[in-house]
Amino acid sequence: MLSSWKKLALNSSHPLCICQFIQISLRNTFCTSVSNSASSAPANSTLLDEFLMVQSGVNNLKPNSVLDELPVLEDVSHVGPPITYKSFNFAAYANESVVLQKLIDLGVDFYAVERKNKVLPSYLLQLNFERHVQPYIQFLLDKKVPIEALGAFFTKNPFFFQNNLDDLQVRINYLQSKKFSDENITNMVIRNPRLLNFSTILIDGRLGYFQKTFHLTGSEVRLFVSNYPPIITRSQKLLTPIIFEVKNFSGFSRDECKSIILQQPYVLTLKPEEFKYRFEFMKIDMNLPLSLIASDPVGLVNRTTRLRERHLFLKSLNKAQYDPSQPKYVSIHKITHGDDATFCESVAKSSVETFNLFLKSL
Amino acid sequence: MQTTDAQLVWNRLNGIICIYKPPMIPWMKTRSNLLTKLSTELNEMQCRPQRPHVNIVGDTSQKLNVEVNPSYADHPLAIGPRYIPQEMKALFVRPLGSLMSGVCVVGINKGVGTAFYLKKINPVSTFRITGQLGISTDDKTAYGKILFRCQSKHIQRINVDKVVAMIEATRRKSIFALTGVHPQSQAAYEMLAQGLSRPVETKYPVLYSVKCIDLNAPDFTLEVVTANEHYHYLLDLVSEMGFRLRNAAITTSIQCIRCCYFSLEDALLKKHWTLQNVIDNMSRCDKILRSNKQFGEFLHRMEKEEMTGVVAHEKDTLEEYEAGEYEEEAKMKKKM
Repeated sequence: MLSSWKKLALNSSHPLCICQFIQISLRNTFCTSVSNSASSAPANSTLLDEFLMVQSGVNNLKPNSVLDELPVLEDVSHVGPPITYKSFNFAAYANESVVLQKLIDLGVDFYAVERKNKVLPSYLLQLNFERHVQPYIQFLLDKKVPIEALGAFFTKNPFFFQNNLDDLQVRINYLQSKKFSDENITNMVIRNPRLLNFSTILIDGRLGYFQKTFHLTGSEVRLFVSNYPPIITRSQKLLTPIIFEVKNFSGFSRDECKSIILQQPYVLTLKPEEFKYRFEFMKIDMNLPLSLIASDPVGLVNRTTRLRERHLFLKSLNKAQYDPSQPKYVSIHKITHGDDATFCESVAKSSVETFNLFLKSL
Repeated sequence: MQTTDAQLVWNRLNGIICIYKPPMIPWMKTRSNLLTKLSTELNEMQCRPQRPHVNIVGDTSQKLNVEVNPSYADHPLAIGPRYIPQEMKALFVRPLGSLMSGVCVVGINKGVGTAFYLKKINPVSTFRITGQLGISTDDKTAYGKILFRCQSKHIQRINVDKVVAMIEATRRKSIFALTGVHPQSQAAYEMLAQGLSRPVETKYPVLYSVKCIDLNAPDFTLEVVTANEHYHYLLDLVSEMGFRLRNAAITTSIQCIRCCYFSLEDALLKKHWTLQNVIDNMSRCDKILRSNKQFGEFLHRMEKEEMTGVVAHEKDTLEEYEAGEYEEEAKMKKKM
């Protein structure tokens, strides 16, 4: 038992191991001396020698300070333990990874990236900034995307560096071939960063889909898409129910549908229930004709609560007159725009205090 | 606001506030709206700087340098904003249903303890219910499917008052059943002589009075004083009134005009939910609570406990209570 410990301790140069060995050996020596002092005398002497030998070894093993001069001739600052991908957020790696630090300096919000993507884009940690990131930034700068917009761009599209640069150029060329102006293209890229992730076949199919369903001409498709670029990459699963609601359920004619979409393409991002609620409120409660809703569809895009509150306030003052052919006409554009003070002054012709009191009676 | 330091404002953000819940929005949505508004405003102010990060850099064959830089791990873009709504606490004393609107009393951060005490005393609240006669719908509101219609122009004020008085009388009898006192006894007399008897349990709704304050057939308005009420209880009350009139009735809106010691004047509208207004409202609500004798004593005791470091005994039960409440909500949703 003792010999095995001894071997272990002497073979391993670790100071802790040696200390343990010394404790055990000293305890054993005292026990043996009490039981049979005469016979164990030679064994004791050998142990003591070993103990003294080890003690001198311990003194030599003083740990040096990290800042002391070391007898190392090579530069090993680049050597270190590998980054282990175990954490669920980027903040754990932010002090070690150079790419993350430079992207944070650009303004990329990694907190938002973690929250929005189900799969964490952990491939970002393996990138080299100069080799893998800089060419993409240069590509965007060549397309006249301002530097301030880059942070928001990469926040919304963290998988952008996985694309091939030639593919990206092809996609830009495709948009140019469809007679989108350069200004329009940069605007579309800034407002919808995920646009360049999609292949030309998919984008072409989506543009054709919009043209067919709403019977648009070429220039109208360009206007529709450049007004609200995120609509191109919106998933078909979300688009079909709302398009069905607008086209078939609400009773708009073909031209009215077209005018709604060209003026307010944001309508197509609403949930069908939300659209139905707003539309029914305007049609039934406010008693507006369909042609008036289609000619100025601001009410469909605005918050329901705001329209509801202001309409009911006007109704209580007997000023809810939405027929343009009659005197004292109030347009929906006037109701929905501006804060409460301007609304009360210009439209309702009363004070904000009375409006607040009215809101507390709803 | 005079200061730009977010930490100072955060330390001040403890207490009871009174807000006006708009109709057609669920109360959990209202809660998240309030908290996100407060946290975004706090983040716009001057927050704490990044923590320092010690780094040893340089060529290992030469002398090494120690650098102290602001840590990237503590950058708001990496770790997230300094104040998030999930870290703030808010407890609604009487949460209102999505159709209901009106006064909501909310305890924020350390004010949660006070809010829980308000919950425990089963506060009396007043509702103004508007409805319509002559229609019956499947969910008893104006938003359901219409089941049938009937004529209602013949109904007069006297008819409604009679029915409402009968409902009030029958429901008042149940107060004795809940307290366990015989209505013909001396104990019952003494209990009523003291004033309103509060329910002991939180389970069963208690109705103190119903009045018809406006009738312009088919529209009518009721004023109801209750404790322990809930959304479906009030809907049932209106439909029962329609049934007893040999007619049908639905509710179009339910407005809470008074809850505990707070009325509509103290409530903050949604557009006024800013830091400055909320803190002003806190001091206003605190004054109202302290002016009440019973509640002022409770607040004094709470402050003493905090000073001595004794943990408030309410805290443990609070979590259980909240959990139970959410279960109830889930059950109600399933039923619906």
